[in-house]
Amino acid sequence: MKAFGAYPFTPTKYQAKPVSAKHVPVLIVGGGPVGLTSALALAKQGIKVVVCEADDSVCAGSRAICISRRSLEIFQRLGVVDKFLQFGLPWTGGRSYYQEHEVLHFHMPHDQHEQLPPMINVAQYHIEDILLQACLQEPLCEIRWQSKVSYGAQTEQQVAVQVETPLGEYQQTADFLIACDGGRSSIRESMGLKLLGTSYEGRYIIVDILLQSDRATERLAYFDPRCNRGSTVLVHKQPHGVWRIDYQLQADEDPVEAVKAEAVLPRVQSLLEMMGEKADWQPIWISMYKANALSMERYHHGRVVFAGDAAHLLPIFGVRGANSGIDDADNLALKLAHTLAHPKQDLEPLALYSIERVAAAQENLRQAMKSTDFMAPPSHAFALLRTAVLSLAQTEPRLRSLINPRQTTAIHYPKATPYRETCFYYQGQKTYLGKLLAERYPRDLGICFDLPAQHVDDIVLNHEQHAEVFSRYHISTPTRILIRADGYIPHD
Amino acid sequence: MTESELDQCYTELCQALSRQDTQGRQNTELGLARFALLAMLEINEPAKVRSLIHRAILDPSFTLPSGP
Repeated sequence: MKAFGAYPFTPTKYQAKPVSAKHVPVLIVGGGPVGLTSALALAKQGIKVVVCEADDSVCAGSRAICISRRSLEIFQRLGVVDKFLQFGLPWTGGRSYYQEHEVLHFHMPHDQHEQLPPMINVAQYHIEDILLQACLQEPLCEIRWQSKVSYGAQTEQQVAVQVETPLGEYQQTADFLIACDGGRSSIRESMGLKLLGTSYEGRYIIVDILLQSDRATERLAYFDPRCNRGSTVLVHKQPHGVWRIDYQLQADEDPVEAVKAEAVLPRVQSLLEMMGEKADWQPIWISMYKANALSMERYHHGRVVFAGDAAHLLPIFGVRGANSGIDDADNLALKLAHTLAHPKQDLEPLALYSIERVAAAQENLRQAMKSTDFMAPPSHAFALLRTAVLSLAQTEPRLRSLINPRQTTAIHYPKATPYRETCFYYQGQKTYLGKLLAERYPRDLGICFDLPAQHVDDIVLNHEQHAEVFSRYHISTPTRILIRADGYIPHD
Repeated sequence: MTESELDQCYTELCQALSRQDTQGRQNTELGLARFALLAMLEINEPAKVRSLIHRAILDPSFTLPSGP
């Protein structure tokens, strides 16, 4: 049997250190992508923040692998997008096959106005490490490793927790606590709060391998392939010669046996042969996955706010997990900074965070469940209709949209819409709205169309020179559009 | 469609599905599912398709036959 190789990344180990600040404005529990994005966004806004991470390094293994354009826009505002583009493999579409036939070739929205790719592939350990290195450069951001947090209590003024470290235990208080401690959130469980929704029965095996190949980066889906009849297989190329393979287990397979290397590796070999990949390869990682589609009813509970997997668990199909958590972090950090800057006001911005991001989670769940119904059919009827669609799609183009994996996109809130990226010349230079937003972070961006500036930060565009922007935003009369710092345009 | 044309189409569907039936009951089911999808595209009206789904499957008066 093949020997296991190692990821082309060695995480730095960090130890717990004695702490001095026993009260901080914001305590973040969990140092994953969501916790670190929140920390970076708050520190960029001048907020002192402490992150408590139970582990002693960034994560290991195969977890999130796709970062969406929306997440990249957020990282651009936080000043780290260049690192993501340097590490990540950009892609714009994918192909689905039924048996030996290509039945779908999809393209994500992408045109000459976009500055960022619709998606990049990058492993979660790199995502976390890029964010961590940026956090370590922020004087207002402190990371406490090997620090396991137990929820204590909250009053109208603060939250108290107990922190357990190899150096001993201590009590920590904070004005606000952000729970980013994952799907099994101990903060959520200690507060007696629940995730509600659907758990799927279908199981997928996740395998990472090392393979050198010059194949293009795109999402590949194989339905009922000859290498694994009756199954569905997904393949993603990752940076540095790592490939992620997900395949569905049959209902009658014993999951304990199916996850063993002796069961997995021959299937991988057979898949690679089918794909025409002839180079030698090495396995790195095997795990098993079951889809969940769950969310809390509210993410704001007094001075405790939930984000990412602690607040909602989404099926992997459509890559909404980490991306929706990064969106939570962006939205929350802006509203929390505003709340801290106006201590005499109520916590309304946090309630709005919950309204907007619960609505986003519901839409994400709706889309992700549709993807899951297709990728892991929950009943005989779903499986039957899926086979009918796949077997007709080659000759019936109108059915192909049913196969589309519905990759994540920015979600519309009840009273705000995501801005649309636009490229134009401004003050003699080619620029993008996203770049102007990033330059102003955390301030909003006002655009005056055929109007004088209404605010010191406004940019002024006239129809004669910026006809394309007017057209892209459907502007026909003088008007001012406000783009919030999180890239959303508010409306009634 | 006249009565005789309907009769002819009905018979052709039965015969086509019977041929599938000889290769396993699941092929009959799949044939019907493919037919339903193509019919959806031809009908091309969501309200009409929903109405047909309701009348064919969800209508409370629809009960499975007790015999073989």
